Amino acid sequence: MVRMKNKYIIKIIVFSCSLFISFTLGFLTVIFLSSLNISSFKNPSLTLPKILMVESGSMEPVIKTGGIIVTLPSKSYQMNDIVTFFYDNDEKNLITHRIEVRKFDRSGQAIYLTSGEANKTFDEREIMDKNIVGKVVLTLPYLGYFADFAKKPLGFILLIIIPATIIIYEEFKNLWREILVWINKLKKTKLFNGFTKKHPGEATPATTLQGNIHRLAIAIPFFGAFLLFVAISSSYFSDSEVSGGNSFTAYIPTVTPTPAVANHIVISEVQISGDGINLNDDEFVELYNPTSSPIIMSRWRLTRENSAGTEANLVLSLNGTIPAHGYFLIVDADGYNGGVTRDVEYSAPSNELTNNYTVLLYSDAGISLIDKVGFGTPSNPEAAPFSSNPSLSQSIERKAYSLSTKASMEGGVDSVKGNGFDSDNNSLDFILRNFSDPQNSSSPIETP
Amino acid sequence: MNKILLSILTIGVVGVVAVGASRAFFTDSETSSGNTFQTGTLDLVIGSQCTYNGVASSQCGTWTSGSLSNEKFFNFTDLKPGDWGENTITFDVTNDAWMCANLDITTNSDLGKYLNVFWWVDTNHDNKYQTGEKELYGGPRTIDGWLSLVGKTAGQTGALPLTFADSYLNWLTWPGSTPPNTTPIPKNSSQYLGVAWCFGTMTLNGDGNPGFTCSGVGDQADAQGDTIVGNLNFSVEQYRNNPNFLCPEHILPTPTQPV
Repeated sequence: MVRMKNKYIIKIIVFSCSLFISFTLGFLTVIFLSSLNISSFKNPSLTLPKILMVESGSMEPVIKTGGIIVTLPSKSYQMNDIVTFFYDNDEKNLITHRIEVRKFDRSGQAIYLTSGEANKTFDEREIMDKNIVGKVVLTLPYLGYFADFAKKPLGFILLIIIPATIIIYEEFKNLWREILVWINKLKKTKLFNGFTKKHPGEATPATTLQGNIHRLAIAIPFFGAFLLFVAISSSYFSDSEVSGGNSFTAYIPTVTPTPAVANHIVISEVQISGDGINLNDDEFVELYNPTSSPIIMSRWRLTRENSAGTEANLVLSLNGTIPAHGYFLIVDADGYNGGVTRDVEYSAPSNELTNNYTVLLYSDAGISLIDKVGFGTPSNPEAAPFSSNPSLSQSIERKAYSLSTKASMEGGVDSVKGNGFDSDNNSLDFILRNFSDPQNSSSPIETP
Repeated sequence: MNKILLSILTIGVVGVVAVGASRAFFTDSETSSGNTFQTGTLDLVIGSQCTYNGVASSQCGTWTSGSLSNEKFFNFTDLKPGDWGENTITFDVTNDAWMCANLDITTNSDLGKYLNVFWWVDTNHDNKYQTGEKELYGGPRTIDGWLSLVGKTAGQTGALPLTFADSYLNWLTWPGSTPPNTTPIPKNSSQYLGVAWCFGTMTLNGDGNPGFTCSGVGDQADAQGDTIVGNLNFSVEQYRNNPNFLCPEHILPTPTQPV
């Protein structure tokens, strides 16, 4: 009797313990599943893997839309790692992208530039280690669709409630049968003999359960609950387009390139030294108007530039009229004693010309360049310089035509055809005269 | 006896899991939000139609929508005071998106004092500014004036971040709502941004022909031969699940009511 009572107590204790253990196990399972959820990220010491479903396709084809990823926290992250991260403190919006660039700030902290796979452009913002939740270690395609289903009422009922109900119902049936078996066993003992006689028809339940569902079926509600707790990662799409090198350039007034005779005033002849009586003997600059209309110069400017590139005025404010196909003579009054009368003299005679200079003519106060000529090795010729410096009594003279020569210009067929050839290249447009030939606005016109 | 214990264990575990899952389902909105998946991609395509002094020109960009490779909106080599022009830029996104832009001036010069730029929403995409179309960022400014918004002085280079639509403001729908903004740039719906420029003094009149005047009167001789070079970068980021997106360092000049 005492032995039987002890056995009964032991069974009750075992029964209670098993109830306790089962509920504890159940709670632990729920807690573990919850830990998959985002809330556990708030505890950085927890290095559990995080399971996330990917909602969009910016990481395709590596991670397809609707995939599930497993991310594992790591102490450091490398280039090409696919990581899950958040911006600022927005821990609810998780993004999964690839690290494209890793660099370090001054304090040695890693800074990452990330991008998706579908659009290979960097995300707008940089991230640091503290933003990263973990590195993707496993990708399961399509499972996210089940997870999404589990999160909806119908899916929740079908994947969790119904399987759980069926299993619990079946297990209660099993339990009842087992208890009956157990009671029957007890009836066979002396204590319950009387009861056995009163119920002779009571069948002994089968020891092997019929209609029992397979115990592995409990995986179904577990799986459903697992899916329910899968958090969401968005893997944001971004794209950018660049239009580079847009430019706005303001115009520079330039001489219109004309291969034949110019349509504007040109510098037609330059002499820098003459008969040797004075320092800058017989220095002059001659202009020619190749057009068929007189041209009035009002507040024009004539300058020169030395071989070092320093520009200085010869005539600060150049005024006068050049007849159609006529000439205009500007001289250095310090030394010019030629027979042809000047039209204008230098306003700054001390800026006289010498070897390797450029002479420049502007139609205003030094902005709109009309013509220039550089000789020797000047700093600012038009295309290439005329290579010779004119020596004593020599001058450089502009050709009348492209095929004009030194001979044809010095007393030859082109000597009275003007000086209008301008290809915007000093080396091609001039000849060297052995004796200069200054002309002024009163000289006979020369029609090309 | 073992079978009884196993049954009790199963009932307990399954029961607790079911109850726990139910609790989560009914209380945690995050868990039970029932998200839908976003398929497709986010692709930004850009088109441009331009005029120079009112007529088509090869010195500015006209092309049909696509991803950009070497296209330039502006490539003017010979601007004179009083010159003006206009580009209407077309944006299309394949999914709802936020959008930011960045104007990076890489070469600046004296021309920066005289070159005015004006942005507006060219709703009817006729390349002209009409009364009622939204002017952006407070009307015309010179290049130097735009860069002064990010602390640059005249002639300096710099990058100007611009916001078209983020969670603070959507210029395209402004002033439909006060910040914060929840309206992204809608997918598959072309948006038109007008960019007008003038070498000289720019005055808006909204007459649609072209909607502003450009005067080159004054002494701009110091800008002769000067060049301004810049890159214009447009970026989009998905709107879904990304409600708090802000353009980086966005500038917000005092909004101006549409004329």
